[in-house]
Amino acid sequence: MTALATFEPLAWLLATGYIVLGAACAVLLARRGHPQGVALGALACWPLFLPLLATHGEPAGAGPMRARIAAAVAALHEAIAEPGVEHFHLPDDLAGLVSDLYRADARLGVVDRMLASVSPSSAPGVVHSTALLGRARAAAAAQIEAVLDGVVQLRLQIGLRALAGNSVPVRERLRDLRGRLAAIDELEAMDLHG
Amino acid sequence: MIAASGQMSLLQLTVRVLRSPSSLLDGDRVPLAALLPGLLALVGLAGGLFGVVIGSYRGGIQHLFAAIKLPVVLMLPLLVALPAIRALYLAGGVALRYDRLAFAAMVGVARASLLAAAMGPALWLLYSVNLDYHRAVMTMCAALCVAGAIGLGTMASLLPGGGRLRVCAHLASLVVAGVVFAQGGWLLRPFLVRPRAEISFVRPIEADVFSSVGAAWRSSRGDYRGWEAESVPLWDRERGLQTEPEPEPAPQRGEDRR
Repeated sequence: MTALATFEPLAWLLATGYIVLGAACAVLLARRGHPQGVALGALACWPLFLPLLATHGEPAGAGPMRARIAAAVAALHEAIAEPGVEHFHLPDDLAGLVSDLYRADARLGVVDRMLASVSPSSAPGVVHSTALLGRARAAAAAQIEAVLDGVVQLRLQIGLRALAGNSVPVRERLRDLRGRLAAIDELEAMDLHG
Repeated sequence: MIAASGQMSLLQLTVRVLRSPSSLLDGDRVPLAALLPGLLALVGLAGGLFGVVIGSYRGGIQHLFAAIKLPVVLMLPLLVALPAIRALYLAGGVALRYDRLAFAAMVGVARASLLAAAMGPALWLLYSVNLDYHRAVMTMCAALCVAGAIGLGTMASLLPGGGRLRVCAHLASLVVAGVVFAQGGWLLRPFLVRPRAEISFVRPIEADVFSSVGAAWRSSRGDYRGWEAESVPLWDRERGLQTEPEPEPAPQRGEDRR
């Protein structure tokens, strides 16, 4: 014999509340660009997924430098959270810089996949185009590297401020870095048309 | 193989959870979004497998009921007590972020579930040789205790270092998680059903795990009064008084009447 369970009204109320909160959490995570698996998991176990509400999902087709970018940005945020620089606020430009970095990295990923999918050929046109794309890719990767180095320098400057109380021209620095990223487009255009 | 995340299959995740859980951390970064779905799938599969073994003692639909309920019981301490556990660690001086705690706890539960599932064949063998009910319960508890202790150790090892009262925070967290686990298991029982008893997904709410342990302790000393009195629910007295006491099943399959 199998008996069906009976639930108290309070249990129904709590279960309904849990499911509603889980659904809300899942919708928010999906809107922030997290994968479907994360949203589904949040539906059932939302208390575990709460920290993800403060983050955005990885862009689709992330490139080869995604982890380094994430680490550099996280380190910058941690530097800001250190005692001594608690009154220091990163400008909103940083979010723009980070999204530019991820976009440039995603394009690297696209190029990598293209290069990997091209079968070796001795046709002169294919060889020339492959070499051209390879050169453009290397130049773009070097620019991203330079921007990441700039982020590290910015972090060190913030440390200097904690030590010596110097003012840090963060806004100007971020503008420079974004300029470098914008240069990737021009550089690729030059290479591809040159 | 099912993909656990963009890069790691479920099998690869299982290997890393068992062999080197700390390698799942990316420096100080916690890749929660990449790992949590896979870890949840591991707990569901491994916990469900252990549930099937537990359900095999009674057989039939109890296989399915136990397989559904066991992962829920394993997850309950995380879902209910994680904020309290974080507060205890912060009070103990451990600088602990919520995402790091969620990651450590989830890896700990996944490892415990995998170990419990690994003990499944041995437990299945025991249940297939006419083990009496009380011994079957004790064997299940022992398996869960061993797996749980290893899971808790894994969780502690994945937390950041430091903290003046770190050990106190560990112990207090153990108590909080243990209480939630015990009461969760009590609410979702039965897992092992007595051979002649009626199978149900969950039993009506009656008292709590502590009064049950007290009654069991008294009965072990020869004092058998109080089971019906203790079964009166604390927060639904009216229904509790209407609840028919469960008939004592006839001894079968090595079951004793202690």
